[in-house]
Amino acid sequence: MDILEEITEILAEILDIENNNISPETYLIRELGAESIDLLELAVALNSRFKIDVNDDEIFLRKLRQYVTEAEQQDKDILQYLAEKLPFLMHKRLEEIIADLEGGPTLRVKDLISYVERQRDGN
Amino acid sequence: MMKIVNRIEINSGLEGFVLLDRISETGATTIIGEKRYFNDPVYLGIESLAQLGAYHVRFLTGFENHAFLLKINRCTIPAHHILNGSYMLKGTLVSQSKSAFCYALQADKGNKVQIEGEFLYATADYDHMFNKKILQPHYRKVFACLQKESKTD
Repeated sequence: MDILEEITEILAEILDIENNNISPETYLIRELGAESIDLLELAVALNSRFKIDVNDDEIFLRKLRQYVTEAEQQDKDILQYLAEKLPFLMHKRLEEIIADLEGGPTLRVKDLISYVERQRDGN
Repeated sequence: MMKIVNRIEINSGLEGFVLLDRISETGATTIIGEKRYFNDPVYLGIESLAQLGAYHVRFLTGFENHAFLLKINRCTIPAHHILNGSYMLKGTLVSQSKSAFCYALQADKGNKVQIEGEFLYATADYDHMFNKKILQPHYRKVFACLQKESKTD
């Protein structure tokens, strides 16, 4: 079972939804309606399943908008600043996120996969 | 001028709100306590387990955050629904993130499991609702008393 399949299984159980509603592009909050309590459950489930340390603030991009504001206030390059703060996300994904900020919470399933992969690699 | 009263008022309907008699062991992933019941309803046993787990979360976080029960994922209770006598309460941390903690908790009587379940806790920064100056010393004091085998209210 790959990471996507395992995360899909966990999400389907926590959110009580069908597996086929979940893909890497699925938004957790916008589309699946995940609430803060669901995300906390997800965090401990990921720790249990993948044996990785999980920082809730990082994996769920909780400080994303704060980082954007900080970068603007400090007159720093937003992409570079986000890359430092959220090192598990690739440059291309960060560009997507910045372009998508107006639409609401940007967290997608693929961000969880990136986080798990990075933590598994020990980076 | 309005007077600010720094006091917590909890109306639990019980004589005391601490439903633990003693915490005998605390480790990185385990906590063990005791509670004697007197023909009490089973929900008090569930509350005792919830309190035991919450104290372990506070212990792990150095009492620096507010800890609270978020959810009971599952819980089995005895058929007779009454608790009587001394019970050993055990908690094992099974998984965690930075701010969420999942425990397997159980209450044993005479080496037989009476209540067991999975409890999920979360931590949050102290704030205007959960006042650090009041709550942190309160929980530290109760925890210390329970470890000294003193029953506190």
